[in-house]
Amino acid sequence: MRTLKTILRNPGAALGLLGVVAFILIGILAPLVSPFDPNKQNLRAIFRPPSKEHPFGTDQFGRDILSRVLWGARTSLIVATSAIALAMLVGALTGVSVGYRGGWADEAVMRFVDVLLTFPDIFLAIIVTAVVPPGLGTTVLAIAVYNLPQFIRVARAAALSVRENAFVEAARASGASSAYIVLRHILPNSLAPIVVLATLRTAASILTAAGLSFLGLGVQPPTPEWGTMISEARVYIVTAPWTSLFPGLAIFLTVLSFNLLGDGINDALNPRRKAFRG
Amino acid sequence: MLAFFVRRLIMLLFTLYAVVTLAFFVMRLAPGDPARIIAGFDAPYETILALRHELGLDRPILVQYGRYLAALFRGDFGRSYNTRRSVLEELGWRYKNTIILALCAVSFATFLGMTLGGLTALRPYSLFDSFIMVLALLGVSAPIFWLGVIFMWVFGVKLRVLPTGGTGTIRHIILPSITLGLALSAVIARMTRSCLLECLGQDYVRTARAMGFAERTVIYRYALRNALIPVVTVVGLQLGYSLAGAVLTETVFAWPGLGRLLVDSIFARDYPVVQGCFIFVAFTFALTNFLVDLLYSVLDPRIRYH
Repeated sequence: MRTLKTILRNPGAALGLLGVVAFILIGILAPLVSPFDPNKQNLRAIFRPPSKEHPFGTDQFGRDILSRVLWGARTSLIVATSAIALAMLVGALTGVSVGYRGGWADEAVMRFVDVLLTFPDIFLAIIVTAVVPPGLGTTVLAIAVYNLPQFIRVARAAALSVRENAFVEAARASGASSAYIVLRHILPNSLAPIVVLATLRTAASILTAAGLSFLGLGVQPPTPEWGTMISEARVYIVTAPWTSLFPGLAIFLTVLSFNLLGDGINDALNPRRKAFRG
Repeated sequence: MLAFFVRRLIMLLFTLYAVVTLAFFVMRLAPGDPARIIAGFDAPYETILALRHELGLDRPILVQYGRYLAALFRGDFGRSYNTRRSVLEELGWRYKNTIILALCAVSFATFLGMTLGGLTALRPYSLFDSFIMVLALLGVSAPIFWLGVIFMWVFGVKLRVLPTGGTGTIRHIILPSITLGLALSAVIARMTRSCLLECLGQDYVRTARAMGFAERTVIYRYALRNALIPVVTVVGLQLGYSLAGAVLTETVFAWPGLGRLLVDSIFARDYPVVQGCFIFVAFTFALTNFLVDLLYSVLDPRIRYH
């Protein structure tokens, strides 16, 4: 609670939290707040510029862009939360286990992480899409793989310090199995940095998922998704710039909110080190 | 120093071997029989069998792997399933284009980022500082493919001052490198600012000031030099990330580079080309990181590697 207060004392972070809450609410309430069915085509109303009826205009099929942007929040929310949950589950369990055990398994996993990290940024996600046919599930998997190395590293580092505690030794002395110690003692005590990482990785995940979809390797049309919308709309930039403008603004504002909040959390947790992302 | 160099070189080679292995086996996991993809879905069974034999796909996987490695050592990345040309031929000139784009973007980003970052650090918490830092935050939050489309609209369509896509003249590279460079410059500006601020608070800077050196000398000779060490690392790393951003930028501006080739080859299920692209990307990224590590020890003589 104290931490939350510290975070909110920073106006940028408060603004970020507001944006994040709005994004989540829109994602959940998309069916209620959208004025139109996002996939309803109206070929007699294509490329309508922003107006009272269609505040964001309509696209090449006469679909209402505002509704598609609102439903796009839902797609982004689903992809980002499931991908991070998946990466967190697999990454935390792997990282914590190898961090606790050490030895050859630790060495092997960390070398594997090094190999994954030689594929910069979005390439790690692209590898997945090269093998598995594209779709919503593939996008979730790709973004999870993209986040996996970070979670393994952070979880392992946390486990390395937790395992030095006396209560771990006490558990071992009382005959607890390794699996029990990892799940009951190491994991719960390593959770804080993992949860912080999860919030920090959300912005990058939303951006990368949209990028994948923009390339055509992510969420497939006609599902309303911001990256896909820009990818379809960019050829009409001369005649109908609003078709590209609004989905991009949606990504921009969402990512900005998460970044503001992330900076605020960083500042609150490490007051001595002002936040920057390298 | 030499021992460090050799050890890093061995690690680099090991990483590359692992990358090649990963690329090979991951592509074998992909659904679909390449022979069937090339021959077409209505091709007679005999044709597919003959093609499988020609491509060596009828051999055990470990034999295929061994042959792939042996061929790589000779610089043979295989042949594209689609164009039947050698992968190296397909990759070579596109790789050059991507590297040109990445270098332009990183140069632009370094110039802009270090200038703005340096200026803000000299007036911390001023209005100018807040303004630039807000801009930097906006810079890292904007999706580059969207920024590219918007720039294309403003500079190419509305103002008609720059071409919207393609290659050829120096004018063609301006928009793609600015698009790609802006996000990178934001990261570099934030890094430069925080490093310079930290250095300006150090004892040796106070000593230099106390000794009566001109403020210029204090900043350039004492603070900036030390602040640059982590910044150089970030710039080096950005080169790798600019490869990732290049995939998106190339798509927006129809820039014929490696990233576009990779995406097109994935759609076409042209696995030899996909493998080649991944290996080139990983190689470039690993090599840049290796060079940054070496540069680090040159810039900071206090760092001694054992």
